[in-house]
Amino acid sequence: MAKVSELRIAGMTLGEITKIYVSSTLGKVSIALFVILIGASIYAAVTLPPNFGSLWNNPLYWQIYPKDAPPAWVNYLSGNGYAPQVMFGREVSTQGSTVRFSFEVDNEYSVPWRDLYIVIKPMSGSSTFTAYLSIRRPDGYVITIGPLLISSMYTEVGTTQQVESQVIQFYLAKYGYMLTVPQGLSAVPYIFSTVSSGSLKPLKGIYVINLTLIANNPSKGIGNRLISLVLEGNVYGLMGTDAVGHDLWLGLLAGFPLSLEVGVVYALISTAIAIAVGLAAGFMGGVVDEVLTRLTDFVILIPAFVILVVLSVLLRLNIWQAMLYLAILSWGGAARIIRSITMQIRTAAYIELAKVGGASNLWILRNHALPQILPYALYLIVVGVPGAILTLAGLNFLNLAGANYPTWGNILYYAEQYGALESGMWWWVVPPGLLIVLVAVTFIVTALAIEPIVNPRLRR
Amino acid sequence: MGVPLLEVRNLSVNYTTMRGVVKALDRVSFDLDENETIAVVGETGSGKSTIAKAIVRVLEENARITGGEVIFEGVDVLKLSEEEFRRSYRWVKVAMVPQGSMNSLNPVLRVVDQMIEPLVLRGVPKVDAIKIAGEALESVGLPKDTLNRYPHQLSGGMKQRVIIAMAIQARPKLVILDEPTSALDVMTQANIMNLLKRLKREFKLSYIFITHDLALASELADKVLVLYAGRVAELGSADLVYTDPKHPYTQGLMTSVPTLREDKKLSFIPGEVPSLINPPSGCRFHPRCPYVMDICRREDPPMINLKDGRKVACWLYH
Amino acid sequence: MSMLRGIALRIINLTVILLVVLIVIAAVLSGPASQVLKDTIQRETSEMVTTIMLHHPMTPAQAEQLKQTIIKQLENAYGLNKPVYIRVFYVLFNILSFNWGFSYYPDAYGVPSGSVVSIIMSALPGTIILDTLGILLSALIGIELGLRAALKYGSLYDRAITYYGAVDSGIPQWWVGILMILVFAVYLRLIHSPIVFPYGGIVDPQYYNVWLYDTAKAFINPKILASLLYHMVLPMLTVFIVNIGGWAYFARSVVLNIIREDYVTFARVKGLPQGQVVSRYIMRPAMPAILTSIFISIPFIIFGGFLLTEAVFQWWGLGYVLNIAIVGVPTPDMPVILADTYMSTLLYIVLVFILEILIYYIDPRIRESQG
Repeated sequence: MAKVSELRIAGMTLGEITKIYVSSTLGKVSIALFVILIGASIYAAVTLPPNFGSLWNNPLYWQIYPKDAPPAWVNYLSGNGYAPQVMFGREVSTQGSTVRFSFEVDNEYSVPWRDLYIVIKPMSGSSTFTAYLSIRRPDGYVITIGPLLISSMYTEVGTTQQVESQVIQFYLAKYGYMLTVPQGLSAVPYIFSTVSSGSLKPLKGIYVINLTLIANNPSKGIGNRLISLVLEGNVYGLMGTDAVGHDLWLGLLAGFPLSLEVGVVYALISTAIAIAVGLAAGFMGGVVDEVLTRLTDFVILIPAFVILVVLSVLLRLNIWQAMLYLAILSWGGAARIIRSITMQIRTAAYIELAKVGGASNLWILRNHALPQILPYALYLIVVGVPGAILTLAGLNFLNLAGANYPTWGNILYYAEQYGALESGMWWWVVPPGLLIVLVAVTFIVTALAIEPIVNPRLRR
Repeated sequence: MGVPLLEVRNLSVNYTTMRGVVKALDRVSFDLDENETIAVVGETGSGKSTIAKAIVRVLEENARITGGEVIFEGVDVLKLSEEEFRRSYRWVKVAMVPQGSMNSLNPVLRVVDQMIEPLVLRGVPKVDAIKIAGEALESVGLPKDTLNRYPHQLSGGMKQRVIIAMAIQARPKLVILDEPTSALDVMTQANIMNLLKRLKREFKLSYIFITHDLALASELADKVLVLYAGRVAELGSADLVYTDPKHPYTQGLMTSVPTLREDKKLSFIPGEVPSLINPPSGCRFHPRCPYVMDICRREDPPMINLKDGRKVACWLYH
Repeated sequence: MSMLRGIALRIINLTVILLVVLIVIAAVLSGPASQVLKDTIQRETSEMVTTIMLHHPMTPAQAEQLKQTIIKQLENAYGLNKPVYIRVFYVLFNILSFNWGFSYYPDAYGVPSGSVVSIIMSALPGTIILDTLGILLSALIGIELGLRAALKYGSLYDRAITYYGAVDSGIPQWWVGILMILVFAVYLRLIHSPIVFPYGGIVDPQYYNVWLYDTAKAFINPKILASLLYHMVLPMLTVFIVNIGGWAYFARSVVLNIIREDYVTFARVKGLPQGQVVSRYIMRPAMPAILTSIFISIPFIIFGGFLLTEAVFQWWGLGYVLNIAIVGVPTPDMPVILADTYMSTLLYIVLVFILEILIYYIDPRIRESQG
C-alpha cells in the first residue's frame, strides 16, 4: 500500500478530505458538538468516583439532599424565592465531651428551608451524642430544640415528634397560634416563619443557629470529627434533584461516557457484520449470494426492539449485552446497500479487467472494492450510533438493559414511575431527553458533513 | 426559400460555477433553411450542446443567456414566456434528441406511456396516440411490441431509436441531434445515419446535427458550423468547408478526415482547448495556431465574409 | 400479468420468511413459552379437579393425585416433555392457533377473563390506528415537504427542512410525548387554560368497557369517536413531529439526485408541463428509493419509538400492554409479554411486506433483477 500521506479515499487525500470537512458549516458544527460530548465524558470520568454506580443506587447517600428540588438557578428567574441548600461544617478534634458551634444564615427567601440535618463523620456504632439547637430569629425570639439523640451519621431533625411539639409550643407561647404540622412533614420551615395578622408568613432576616453537641460517653470524648449542619433547600444544584434526592447534574453527567461507548461499539460491530455479509454476497454471487440475501431479508424482518425487550426481560440483560444483541439484529438494511454497491463495483471492475487481462478476485477486492466501500462504511458507522443510543435509551425507559449506573433512559423511567410528569417536574423530565437528542444529533450532523465526501454528486 | 426556418443571432451564454464565470458561447450566429442540415462541429467543451439547450430553452440553473436572438419562423423565441414556448414550440415545432439518449427515458414508465405523452397533451385521443407511436416506431425500424417494454429492457441502439421515433412522431420542423451516435457501435451508427437521412427526406425535416466526428457529419450536412471555445471559427456550405477549409482550426480537423470510416483522434493540433473562464486574449485559437500573427494575440478577429459565401473568423483573411 | 405473478411470488417468499422468523422466535422463547403452557395447564387442571370434586367428593390426597395424573397427560399431549425441537413446533402451533394462555395478573389490564388473546386483541385496534395512520400521514406530509425543498434547492425553506429532517431522526419519540404532556396537559391546566388535553388514555375512562370488548361498536358511537379523536391529538402530534422530518429528509435527498437525471430534462424538452414532470418523472422514480431508504431506520424509529409512545400516553395498544406486563406488575407477566411480542412481530412484518410489495410494484427494474 502507498504511504499514508498519499492514501486516497474516494479520489481525495486525507488532507483534502479534512479540508473539505472543516470548511463546511456542518463540519464545524459537528466538531463543536463532538468537543462538547468528549469534554463532558472526560469530565464525568474524572470527577465522578469510580463507585458512582453503587453510590447512586444507595438512597442513604442522598439523604441530606432536597427531594424533588428544581435547579438552583430557578431563583434568578423567579426572584429569589426559594431557599437553597446550605451547609455549615466544622472540623473538631478534641478530647472534651462538649462542643459548641454558632452559625449565621440570612433568610432572604419566601419559601423557607424544608428540613435540618446534623451530620457527623465518621460515626461508629458505639458512640452516641446528644444535640441541642437554639435558634435566634430576626424578631429576637429564640427557639430551643432538643435534646436530640444522635446515633447515626445523618440525623434528620424536623420530623421528630419531639421537635414538632417544641415548635408547636413555641408558636403557642409567642403568638398564641395553634400550629399544625401535617403528618409526616418536617417542622423546620416553621422555624423560619412567623405569624402576622393571623396567618403564617416567612420571616426574613439573619438567623443565628447554635449547636451544642455532647458526647454521651464522656470518657471517650468527641474525638476527630467533621460536624455539619445542613439546611435542606428547595432548590439544588445545576439540574435539581429527583424523588430520592439524586443530584441530577451528576446523574446526567454520568450518562455521557456510557452512551458514547455503547453507541460507538455498537456501530462498529453492526457495520462490520453488514460489510462482511454485503461484500461476500455482492462479490461471490451464486449460491453464497442467495443464501446471504435470504439471511439478510430474514434479519430485516425481525423487529429488533420488540425482540430485544423480550430478551432483556428473559435473560436479564445488561446494557452491553443488549447492545450486542441489537447489533446482531439490525445490520440488515446496511448489508443490502453494501451488497448492491459491491455488485456495481464488481461489474465495472470486470469490464476493465477484460481489457487489461485477468487478476485475482482478491486483488479486485483490495484495490477496487475496499477503497470505494470504506467511505460508505465510515458513513454507516456514524449513522449507526444514534439508532443504538435511542433504542437502548428506550430499553432503559422500561427499566431494562441497565447498568449499575444511572442512564438517561433510566432516569426517565423513574420520573415516569414517580409521576414527575403530572407534578410538572420539568427539570427531571426534560434534560435526559435533551441529552439523548444532543448525542444523537452530534452523530447525525457528522454524517451529514461526511456525505459530500462519500457521495461526490452532492458536492457543489 | 424566403425566410429561413431558424436564425440564430449573436447568441451568448454564460455559466456561473464555483470556480468562476464560464463564457460558454460568444456571439454565435448561423441560419438554417427548411429541409436543410447544419452540422455543428467541435471538440468537447466547445459549447456545442449549449447551443442545443439554448434553442430549446432547457439550459441548466446556473446558465444565463447574456445576449442574442433565436428567431424561429420569424419569432424571437427567447422573448416568449416559458409557458408560451412550452405550449407552442417544444415538441411541436422543434424537437431534440439529446446527448446520452440512453438516460433520457424514464425507467419506471413503459415506452408507450412515454411516447404518447406529448401527443395526449396536445389533445390527441389516447387510442390514436398509441397508433401514431406504433407507426413512428416502425419507421425507425423497431417492432410495435417495443411499446410495452420498459427502457431497461432495450439496448442502447434501440433506446436511441425510440427517442428518434418520439421526435419525428411530433412532425416538428426542426430536430436537434446532439451526438446521436457517439455511444453506439459502428454498425448501429451506420443504421442510425441511414435512418436519419431517410426521415429527413420523408418528412422534410431540418436538422441541427451536433458532433465531434467530422466524417459522420459529412454524410448529412448541407452546411457546417465549426465551433471553437465557444466561438464560431468557420461557417459555410459543407462542400466548400470540407474540400477547402479556410480557418486554421478547420484545416487541422480536416486532415484527420479519413477516407475509410475510422474514428481517429485529433492528435496533431498541439495544445488543449482553453479554459473558458479565462479565455486567451484576442483570437481564442491563437495559442495553438500554426499561423499565429501578432494581431491574433491582441484582437478578436471579426467574422469575415468570403466571396464564396463562407464566413471565417480569422485574421488571415482580413 | 407477469407483475401479478411477481407479486404473488414475493408474497410467498415473504410468508416463508415470516414462518421462519416465527419459528426462530418460538425456538428462542420456547423455554418461557413452555413454562407459560405449564402454568396454564396447572390452572386449568385445578379448575377441572375442583369441578369434578363437586360431583364426586374425594379426599385431598386423591384430588391431588388426580390433578397430577391429568397434568401429566396434558403435558404429554402438549409435548412439554419432548425434546426441544418438537417442543418448538408445539409452541409454534400454539401461537398460530391463538392458544395464548392467561395473564398472571389479569387485574392490571381491565380484562377480567385474563385471557391473553382478549387482552392483545383489545389492544390491537389502538396500535393500528396510531401507528398506521401516524406513519401514513407522516409519510404523505413528509414526502411533500421534502419534494418541495428539493425543488427549491438552496433556499431558506430547503435548508430549514434539511436540518429539521436530519435532527428529527435523533429525537426519541416517546420523550417528545412526555414533553407534549408536560406542555399541553400539565402546564395548560396550571395556567387554567380553557383548552386542555388529556394526560393519556385512548378514550374517556367511562367508555373503556366498550373499547375493550366491542371496539367496532365504539366507532359507531359519535361520543366515543369524539373522545377518541380528542385523545388522539397529542399522540398524533408527537408522531408527526418526530416522523415527518425523516420522510422529508429522505424524499429530499432522493429527489435531488433524480432532478439531475437526463430523463427529467428530456421530459421538459418534450414540452410536458411542470406538474407532469414532477409527478411522473421525479416522484414516481423517486418512490422506490425513498421507500428503500427507510429500511435502515425501521428497526429503531418506526417500531421502538411507537411502542414506547403508547406507553407514555397510556394509549391502549400493544406498546402500553407490553409496558404494563414488564413494569406495571410485580413480576414480568410472561404470557402477555410473549403474545405481545408475537403480535408486534406480525404487525411489523406486515408493514415490511407492504413496503416491499409497494417497491416491487413501482419499480420495474427491481422486477427484473429479482424475478
